[in-house]
Amino acid sequence: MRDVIPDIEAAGVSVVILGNGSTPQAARFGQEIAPGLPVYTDPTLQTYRALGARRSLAGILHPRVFLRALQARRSGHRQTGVEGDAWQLGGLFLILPDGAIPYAYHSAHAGDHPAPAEVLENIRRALATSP
Amino acid sequence: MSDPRNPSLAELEVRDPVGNPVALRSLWASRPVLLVMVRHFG
Repeated sequence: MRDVIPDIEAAGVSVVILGNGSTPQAARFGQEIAPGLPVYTDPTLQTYRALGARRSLAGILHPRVFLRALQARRSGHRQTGVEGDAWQLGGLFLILPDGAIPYAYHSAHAGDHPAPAEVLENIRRALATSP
Repeated sequence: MSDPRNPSLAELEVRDPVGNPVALRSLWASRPVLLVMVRHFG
């Protein structure tokens, strides 16, 4: 995802990270994982619910989770612990100034992320067709 | 009237890393935003 952030921003879209842990955890995430990006947190999970993000045990124990974890580990990513709601899944949402959401991706299980090139393409397409 | 258990996006607040409340809608008020909701901060 990091590789396409300059292209996303060049398309006129800001990238904002939202998690659900504590504010110190958000600060550490911003410093260590997402430097240069604004990071916020919603421990109440209200934003997750409002946007329809899934929350389930099955999503955490899905067989693909273990494959994705192994792939991430081989790429040098290490999960240090769960800092937030253990069962909560995430997603991506393109939100326009009028509140419209022309592109959304809801993770089906832990480690389920769209390909960065797919995200960029969907953003460009959504912006091109939005009024 | 919205359900107080599930307020609309426009009514929600999040916290910045210092703990200050931030109106969620302010994040996309001036330009589109890709909101990346992570599963957790770990």
